Amino acid sequence: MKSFANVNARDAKDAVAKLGQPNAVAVGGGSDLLGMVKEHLVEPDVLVHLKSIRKLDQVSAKAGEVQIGGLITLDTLSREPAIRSRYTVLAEAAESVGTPQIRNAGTLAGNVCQRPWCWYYRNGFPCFKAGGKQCFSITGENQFHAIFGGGPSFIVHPSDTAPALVALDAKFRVTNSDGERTIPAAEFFALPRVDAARENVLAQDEILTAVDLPAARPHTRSTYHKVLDREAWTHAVVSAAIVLEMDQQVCKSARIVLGGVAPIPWRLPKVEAMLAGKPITPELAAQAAEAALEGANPLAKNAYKVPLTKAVVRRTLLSLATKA
Amino acid sequence: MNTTVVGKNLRKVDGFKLVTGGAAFTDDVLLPGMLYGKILPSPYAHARIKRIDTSKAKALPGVHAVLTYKDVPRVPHTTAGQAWPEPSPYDTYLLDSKVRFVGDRVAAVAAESRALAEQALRLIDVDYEVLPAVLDMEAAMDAGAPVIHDEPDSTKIFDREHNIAAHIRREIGNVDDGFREADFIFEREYRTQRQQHCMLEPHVTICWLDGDGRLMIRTSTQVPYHCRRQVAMILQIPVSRVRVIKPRIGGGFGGKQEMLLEDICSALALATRRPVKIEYTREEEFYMARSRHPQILRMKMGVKRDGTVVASHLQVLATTGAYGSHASTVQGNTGSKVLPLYRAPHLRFECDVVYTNTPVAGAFRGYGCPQGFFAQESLADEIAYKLGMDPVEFHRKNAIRLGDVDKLSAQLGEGKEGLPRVIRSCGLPECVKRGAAAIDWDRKRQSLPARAGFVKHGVGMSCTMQGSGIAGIDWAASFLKMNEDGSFFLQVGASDVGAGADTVLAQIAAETLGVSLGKIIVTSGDTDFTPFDTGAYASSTTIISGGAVKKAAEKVRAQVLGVAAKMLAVPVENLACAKDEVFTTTKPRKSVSMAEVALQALYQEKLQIMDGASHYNTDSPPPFCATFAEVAVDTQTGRVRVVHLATAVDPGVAINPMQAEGQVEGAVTQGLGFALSEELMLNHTGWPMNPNFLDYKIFSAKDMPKLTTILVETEEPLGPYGAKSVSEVPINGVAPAIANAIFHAVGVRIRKLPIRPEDMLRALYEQQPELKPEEALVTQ
Ligand SMILES: Cc1cc2nc3c(=O)[nH]c(=O)nc-3n(C[C@H](O)[C@H](O)[C@H](O)COP(=O)(O)OP(=O)(O)OC[C@H]3O[C@@H](n4cnc5c(N)ncnc54)[C@H](O)[C@@H]3O)c2cc1C
Repeated sequence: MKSFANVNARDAKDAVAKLGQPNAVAVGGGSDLLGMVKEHLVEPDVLVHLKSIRKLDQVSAKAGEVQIGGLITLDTLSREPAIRSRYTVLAEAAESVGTPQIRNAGTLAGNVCQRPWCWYYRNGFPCFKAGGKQCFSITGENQFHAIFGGGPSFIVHPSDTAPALVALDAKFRVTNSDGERTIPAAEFFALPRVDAARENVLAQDEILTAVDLPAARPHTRSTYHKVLDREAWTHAVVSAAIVLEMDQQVCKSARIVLGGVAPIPWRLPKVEAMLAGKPITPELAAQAAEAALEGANPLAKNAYKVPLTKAVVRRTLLSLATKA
Repeated sequence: MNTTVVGKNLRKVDGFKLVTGGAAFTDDVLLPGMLYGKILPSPYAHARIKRIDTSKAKALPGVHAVLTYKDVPRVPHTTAGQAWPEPSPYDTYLLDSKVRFVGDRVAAVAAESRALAEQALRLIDVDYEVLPAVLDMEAAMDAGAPVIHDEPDSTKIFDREHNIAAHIRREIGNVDDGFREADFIFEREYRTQRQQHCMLEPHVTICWLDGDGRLMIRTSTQVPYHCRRQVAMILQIPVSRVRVIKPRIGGGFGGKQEMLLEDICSALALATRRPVKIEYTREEEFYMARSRHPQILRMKMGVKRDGTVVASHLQVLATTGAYGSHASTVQGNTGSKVLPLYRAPHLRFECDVVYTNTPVAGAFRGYGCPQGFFAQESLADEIAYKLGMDPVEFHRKNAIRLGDVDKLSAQLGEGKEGLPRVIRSCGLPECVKRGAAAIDWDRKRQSLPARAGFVKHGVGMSCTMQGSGIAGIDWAASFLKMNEDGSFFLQVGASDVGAGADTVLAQIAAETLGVSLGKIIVTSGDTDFTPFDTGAYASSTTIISGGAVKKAAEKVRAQVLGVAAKMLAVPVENLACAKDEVFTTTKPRKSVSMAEVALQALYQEKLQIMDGASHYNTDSPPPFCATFAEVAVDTQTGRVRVVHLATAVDPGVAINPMQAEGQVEGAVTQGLGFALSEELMLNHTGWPMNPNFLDYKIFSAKDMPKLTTILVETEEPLGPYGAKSVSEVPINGVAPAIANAIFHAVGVRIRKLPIRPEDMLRALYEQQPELKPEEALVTQ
């Protein structure tokens, strides 16, 4: 591990200023970043600590909207009553992350901004994510890689909270040297064909400071379903974040976002449209699941994700729609 | 049996130290001036070092030594921690000009900090001539495949031109005749994966020179004596100049039946004249240490219409990775400990163990049996199903029983002819009975698969065995001496690796001497201060080292009684000892305390009560095990959850039942990972893809099923107080019991491990919804 200096940010502006130094990197809980430093995947000279910024770890409500500080830990977030009851999908997503240790250290912003866990990248292969010019998974061990939106890199976005935030139509507040900008969650994440080295639109000296959730509409229910190959301590094999606005048995509107299948949280607008205005019957759920996987483009070793994801969409839709 | 210490759930003698964080483990000491050693791993699966320039690394301040093959003696050896002469090929070098897998040693450095050592590694300039590599064991023997061991000085390689490290072919009866007698013949292929031990404590070694210039090796090992012999040979120094100290060990599971870091760490200590520590990181542990041999097994069985097995033929192709450590012996066990489970008169075992440019395989709990039993017990279930038999009935009919003689073992010894195995104790029928009851077999076999919904439940079972020590090879010595207060020092070469040997051996000594457990102070595994022991492997410690302790204790007891006889003025025959005193067995009752005897001996008779003994067995009594699993298969996600795992084991007499149960639970946990989730994956260039606990999936606490552990005790005439062994056998049957339960649940046979969700889904899509007709049932 290369040595580095640690500095504590006083506030968001100060953090951005400090990130302006050469080779400075922002750190929240460090649960992702420190591992990467140890592996020489990033070699910063300065770590700018964001946890020292006061009040950025809280949930506040105003006019029905909820604002979540980016530095809230995943554990706190998952226990927050307002989130549990009205934005269940987010609480469940936060709760599904890794292990209790990771949830105690890891922050929401760090979760959203974590780097891919593709084993080529993490093992030091000079791939797109490491500044190289190829994706090793295409012809290699791609069982955990993308079936949608891949190319030139085939990573899957690893964050559990990201699909939930996109499903909730959250807005990301970003601080930079000019002040603040707000980006809809869906536009925050960027496909590799936009920039194969990155997963989102943040510039090097920008930080994610908070997340705004729109007021929860009445009769809205939501859930996060994560398929794991171990009961804990693992990223999603695939996952589904679903938000349904119901009118009795009828689905007024739906938002469905998949995790573990694409380099970004993968929203399914076509399927959402299919569901709007209809009661969610087993038949409709099955049709939705079929439609969800249209256009999937599996690699040599991840074709199993297609039936798996279908099952997840169908099952999660049905159980959420019929939930008392 | 009427015992007061043996058979009791007494606390581990080292438990207090362990839970209070006392200086227990190898890494718990910090020696003045200690340097940190680090090994440069090969980035290529197969390459020759054309040029290696260490000058920049050496010039880095704080770096004290950089060693390459040019700086060390070239002595072919095996790293397998086995009794001399080791049956494994001598194909390994301290450092070599050729590297044979990603992770092979290229160079080693010693520096003042870990960071400096890492930095120094990056400053070593190497020019490789990259050679074609062979990673696939099925291609290793092909004409034109790269020859991995083309060096002339390696010895004991079966056929180096074809990368065959070892070849085995053994037969009893005549298998071809046997198949002719059979009404049905079944043949299937099974595949098992590269599993890693994942012991809590990685390999770690600290070496230094003492005041006399002797080489001290404090190391996390299961085999201190083999280690001493091998390091002395490799570094060409006399054995008398080497001391190996085995502190507390944080688990070995066979991975430390290996001389792994001790040679290179010693070389660095000798080069720098300073203490040097090398500790593998978790990542290094995954691919630079050892793993379980991947195997492809072709199992063929001939049965009569009534289910009687007449002949079995097992053909195995295994890879040992780049070096042949344990190549012939692990695979030999795949035959010798598996096939004789059934009483068929005709058995044949054939095996090729090939080199590939992959991480090295070695000893691992079960030692070849988990692979073999996965094949055999899966096939047995398939046969029983085809014949319309309950698998329990199939085992009742065919399994080895009391009084049987297993002749295959006689042919498959440790690298040479072995000894026939006579079954003198056998709790297997009882294990099957109680295991079945625990899982509610009869009811669940009938009712479970009918359940509606996409999660299907099923139950499956398997029967397995192991050995207890290597017959005629494993041996141990122990020494006891008495102290003034009636306590005893017990010195054993045996290596407690966390399994509780020190406690068990102390219990045996205490029982024999008639004292309480607290009166036995154990020193173990130090080549300067404890007598010889072949080491902690092959399920040998309780039976072999325990046998040596019992013998020594009997001799010492005779001395105690001799002194007491004089003190009490009664004949020795009329004396016994128990509860820390010696007493008359005849009226009137008279007694002296052990402390009084000790004082008398030491200060009046000028006699140190002490003695030692050596022990070995000419047979290896098998412990038996029946494993019953209930699984829930999610047919949509492919996730297999084990709901309940019941393991009934016959360990002989359990010297410490609580510890024995702990061993069973630990073994089945590793068995669960082997069955469902663990595999060290390599990419097409031989790189390990998942050398970390996030991607390499051992079971987490949340994944654990309900465990039922049943000890079915029998009395083994060859074991101390009737004990056999317990630590290995329960791992063997987990995978087949689960695979069989999966078949019961969803009608899908999976013959390749591990059964991950994606594998289960694939199998479901291939074999469902309609069960394919089974082509393998050949009626003659
Ligand atoms: C064993 C293990 C298991 C895990 N399992 C899961 C899992 O199941 N699901 C999952 O989603 N994740 C998982 N993770 C990944 C991740 O570490 C955590 O989810 C965590 O939330 C990351 O947050 P952090 O605050 O620790 O991030 P850090 O490590 O501090 O930062 C992560 C990245 O984000 C950047 N960053 C941090 N904060 C900001 C900010 N405010 N603005 C801009 N950039 C920022 C950092 O520069 C860094 O590149 C796992 C990690 C480990 C080690």
